[in-house]
Amino acid sequence: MKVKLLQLTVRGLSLTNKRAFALIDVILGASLFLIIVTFAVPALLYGQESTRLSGQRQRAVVYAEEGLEALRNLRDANFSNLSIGGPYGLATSSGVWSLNGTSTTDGEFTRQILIGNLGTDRLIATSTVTWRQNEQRSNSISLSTYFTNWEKTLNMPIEIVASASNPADNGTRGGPTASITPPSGLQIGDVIILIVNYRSSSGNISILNTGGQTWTTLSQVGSGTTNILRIFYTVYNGTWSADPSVTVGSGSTALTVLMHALRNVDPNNVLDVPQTTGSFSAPSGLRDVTISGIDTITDNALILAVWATGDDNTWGIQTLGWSNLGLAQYRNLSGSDSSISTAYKIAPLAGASGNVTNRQLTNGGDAGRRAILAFKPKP
Amino acid sequence: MKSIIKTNSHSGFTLIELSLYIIIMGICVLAISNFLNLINNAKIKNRLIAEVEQQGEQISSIIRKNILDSSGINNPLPGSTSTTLSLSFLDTNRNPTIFSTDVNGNITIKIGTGQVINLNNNFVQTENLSFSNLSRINTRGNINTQFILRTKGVETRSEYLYAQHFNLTTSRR
Repeated sequence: MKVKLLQLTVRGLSLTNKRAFALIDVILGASLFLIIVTFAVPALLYGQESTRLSGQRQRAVVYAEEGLEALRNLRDANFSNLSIGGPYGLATSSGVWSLNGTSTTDGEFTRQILIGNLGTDRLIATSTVTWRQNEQRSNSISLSTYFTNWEKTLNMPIEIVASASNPADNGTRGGPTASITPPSGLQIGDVIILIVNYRSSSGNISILNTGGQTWTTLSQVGSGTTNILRIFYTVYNGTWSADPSVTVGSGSTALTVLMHALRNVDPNNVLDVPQTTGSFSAPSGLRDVTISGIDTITDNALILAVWATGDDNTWGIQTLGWSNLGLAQYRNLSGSDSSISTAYKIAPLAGASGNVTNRQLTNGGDAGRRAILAFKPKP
Repeated sequence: MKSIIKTNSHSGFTLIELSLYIIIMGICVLAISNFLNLINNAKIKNRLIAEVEQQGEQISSIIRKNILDSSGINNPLPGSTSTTLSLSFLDTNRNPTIFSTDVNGNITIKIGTGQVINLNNNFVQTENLSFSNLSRINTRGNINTQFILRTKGVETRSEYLYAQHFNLTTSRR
């Protein structure tokens, strides 16, 4: 610069007619300067903007993450807190997170949560954050994660332990009392079910000898009909003081006592669904008797269906998924005969059990009593 | 020099030319210095924004990582809010780890019986640090952390001031 100026000075002094700067030189110089400024300044400003935007994006990610973290806490508390659907907002009320409204806003960010179903005990949650980057542009990011009900308490599957009856199938036993020798292999906490069928239109079935147990008596089915049915149950305390027995007061017609023992039933809440009872009229045609299903509350509940008639029917289950509990039938040939058939199903998922059909294979066409109930598995 | 000037009828710069030259130079210098000033300010602002954003992100991730590693939350208790977060660890060297602020507005961490360490540098300070325990009953815990990072600048020079609000939530696994 100095050298140039010096040269110019020398030129200026040297009487030449050459001009110092032409206008074009000035314009050129100014334009170059302008071009540099035009490129440099926006570069600087955009650099600043981009630092701010990357920070903004980062904070948006953290905000979206907060949505998923809050859902995680809701999931940990109870999987059912995450209800399928959305969009949801999140709010903290009484010091805890909860789904609230349709969106949440924090400063420039708006967050929405969507919860999608992926089947039983599995769902996908998406947390979307939108924000206005500037007047013209809006931005959004989405984070997704799977949530599973991994802490779900799995119930111990109910096991069938043993069955016994008095009389044995095709035997003879008349009222007014009947005792039963419990099967071997019972353990403390097993649930013992007594199913009693009495071939009479009247009478009241009750426990005569408790055998040292505390029995729960369910309501009797059928009165003024060919036979009556009643179910009792107890949680086995480990010791039989005697063989338990039942009585109908008086009368000598066929009296059958059937005992089933189940293991891993919740001793505090034996029944998952109380009994539904009724009578069925004499079936025609194939002599199918269908019992309507019930809705179980707990997964892996055991559903027990009972058919009892006033004839020595043999039975065959017609519905897939159901099996006989013990024998296909327990016949009593005393007097006018009687028969009991029981079927069970363990439903892995709570809900409608579906109907179950049992067919009177021989000596068929008899009216009778029916009952259906469900036992709750031990948690 | 004198002899040349004497023999020359065009005698050097006129006052007009000289003033013109000085004015043009003045304008150029003014423009350039303004430009340099602008660059400098932009550079400082850029750096401050980066300091705040990056430190905020870093502090957030340190807190998050510690909550994930922890075996329990000592303070705050569920449903309450505190300026101090105390985490328990199975590793005795890290138990307890405490996040807090000091009198100078720094976010600090104290690991076990170790020294109190600042998590932010001297360019920024913290305001309104709060930890809320938003855990539901029978869960491992959920902590919402909020803080503002602000540059330590001259109050009157607004271009040197930048503040950002940080908000993160972490559930213990």
